[in-house]
Amino acid sequence: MPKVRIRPDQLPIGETTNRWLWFLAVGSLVLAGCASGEAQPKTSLFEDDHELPLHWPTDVADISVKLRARLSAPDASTELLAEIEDLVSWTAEVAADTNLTETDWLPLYQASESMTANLRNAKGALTPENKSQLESLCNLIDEAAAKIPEQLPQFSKGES
Amino acid sequence: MSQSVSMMLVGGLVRMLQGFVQAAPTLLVGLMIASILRYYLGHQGTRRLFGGDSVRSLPQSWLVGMLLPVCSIGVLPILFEMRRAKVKPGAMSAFALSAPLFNPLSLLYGLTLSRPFVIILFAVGSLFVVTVLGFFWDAIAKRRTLSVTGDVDDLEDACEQDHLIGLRRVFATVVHFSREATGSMLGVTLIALSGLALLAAVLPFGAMQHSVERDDWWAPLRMLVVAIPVYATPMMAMGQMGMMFQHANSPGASFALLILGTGLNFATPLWFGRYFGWKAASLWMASLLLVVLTLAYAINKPLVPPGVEPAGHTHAFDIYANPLSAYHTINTETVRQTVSKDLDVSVVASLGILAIVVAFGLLMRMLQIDETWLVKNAKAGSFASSLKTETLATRRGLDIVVPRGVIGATMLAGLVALSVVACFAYYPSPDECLDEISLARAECLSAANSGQLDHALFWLPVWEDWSRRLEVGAFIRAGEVRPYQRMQGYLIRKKLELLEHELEHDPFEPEETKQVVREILATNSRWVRSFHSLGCGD
Repeated sequence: MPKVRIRPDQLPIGETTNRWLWFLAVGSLVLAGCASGEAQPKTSLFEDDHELPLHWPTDVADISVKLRARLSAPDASTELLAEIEDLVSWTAEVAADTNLTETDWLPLYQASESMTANLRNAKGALTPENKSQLESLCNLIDEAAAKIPEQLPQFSKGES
Repeated sequence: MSQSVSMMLVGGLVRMLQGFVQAAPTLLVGLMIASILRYYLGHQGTRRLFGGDSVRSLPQSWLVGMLLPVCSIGVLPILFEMRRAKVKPGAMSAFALSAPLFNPLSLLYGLTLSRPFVIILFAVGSLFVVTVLGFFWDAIAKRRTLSVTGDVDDLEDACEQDHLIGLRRVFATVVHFSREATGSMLGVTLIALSGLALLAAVLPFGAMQHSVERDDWWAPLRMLVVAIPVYATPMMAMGQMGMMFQHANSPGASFALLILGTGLNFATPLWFGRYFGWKAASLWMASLLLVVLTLAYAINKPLVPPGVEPAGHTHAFDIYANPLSAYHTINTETVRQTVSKDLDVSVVASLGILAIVVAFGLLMRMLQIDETWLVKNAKAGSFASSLKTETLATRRGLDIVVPRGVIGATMLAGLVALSVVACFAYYPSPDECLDEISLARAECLSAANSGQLDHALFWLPVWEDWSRRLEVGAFIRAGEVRPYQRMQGYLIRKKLELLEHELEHDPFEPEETKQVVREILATNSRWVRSFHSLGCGD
């Protein structure tokens, strides 16, 4: 939509006689340190929104692939551990965004919740117990990925 | 980003009109409660309701505030009556802050937003704030030796005086209610809403979208400054907190917004200053800010729901910034369209009732009918206490004069019960919600696919609002919202927000929009069936 600049004297709403409004506006300007001027041209109001992190998984199976890759890395850097924590916490969301049934989704959700809590309790350290639990989570993710149907089962009522 | 003076003025006007529209229902309730306190509970009953002089007065006032459905403007006429009844200043402070924060409707809504314990924690936090402030305010009042003792004697005398009963009392209540709606309350309302105009003038469109991120150390302090002039209804505040949770914004900033943005407005400290002295009110305000800021930083740990990838921005505070961007044409049509977006059935009905009440109030003022006139023109039989001395036949059996405190308490209990019932009306059964969602979905997605942006952007928030109501409706009927349902709800709202962004792209990108629509449809199928399989209404 083209930007339209309107001079104050063109304003249609009560601006011509109420001088105090102008004083109020000028006062607000001074207080806020704002100044009237041209708005910057832009193509979108939300230019940089919703950029996905680089390690965001492409699908459910990709979570376990990415997790195993990080678990097998020789040095567990802080960044790597943070990515592991991210991947675990994204598991439920990524799995819910597929045709996986609720029954098959629930164990994944519970496992990722539990794993997230354990990782937070360990404060960044990857303990042997956590490693083992992460392996189990990866297996669970693989099993769930194999169960995802192409289409949702038939459901007769109320869907449009 | 800067904005022109005309944009500041018109934006401020739009925000004030929107604020008035939002305030109408709770302002009406506040005026009604004030009249009930005046004519039914009386001084003693009102003092008893707020805990009298006992130590429980602060938590009791907080609890009463939690149950009554008023906003920070609607609470002001009640404060007038509390002051008239000589309720302890601390209890008034506790009630003034807590009543606008929560009510049964908003509390239920809040419980479904994040983990329930977060909202409960916020409620407990508000109790802590009002208790600390209440003790402080009582201490100031003691030092300033407010003439409570002498006034209590006056009160006792007043209680012995005649008071109206029956239909004449009902009429007196209506007269007071309507006259108040046309009196100083209008000025107070304007002062309260002026904060929104100031914010619109100071904050350009979308200025707060990146200001309260979870890792921003300044977020609680920044929100503290912004929240002081804010006026927000309890439901609006809960909606904003929902968006903040969804975007994993700073919890400390959320808390500051809840207590200061919802709990008070520009008129609240002015009211305290006028009746208790400016120095005392300044101390009260400073203490409030200190307590809120301390608590905000104490709880300001990241609160990211499991499986949630924060978007890095939020639209929760767009409502406080200027509604007009450089892309808007500034004219009366823009103002009309922007304001009318907030008009739902409850708001239109409230505005209609308010208009009738104001017209009646003006008529009463023209005819000079007020409380004094009613008392002067009443017959002896119109007064409760006169019955003792009248030479009337002795009342027998069930023919008794019900004490006005009993009627008043029943009315207030009825109001609370009504708001609980209203929860079930406002949050219908999942099947009803799904019907509404089906309508909003069809309108929104077909408009998005065909490039009718304004139509799609109108129906999108309707759909989002019903998605929340669906969850609360299921929660109050089934006792839970399952994790899968919650996650699907989160996904649908996340994708709706993506769609909103696509629709606001300039130039419009039809292919990208259609892709988002396809993804929404897939999520929608899963989301809808998760509630159908719940068994609610099936």
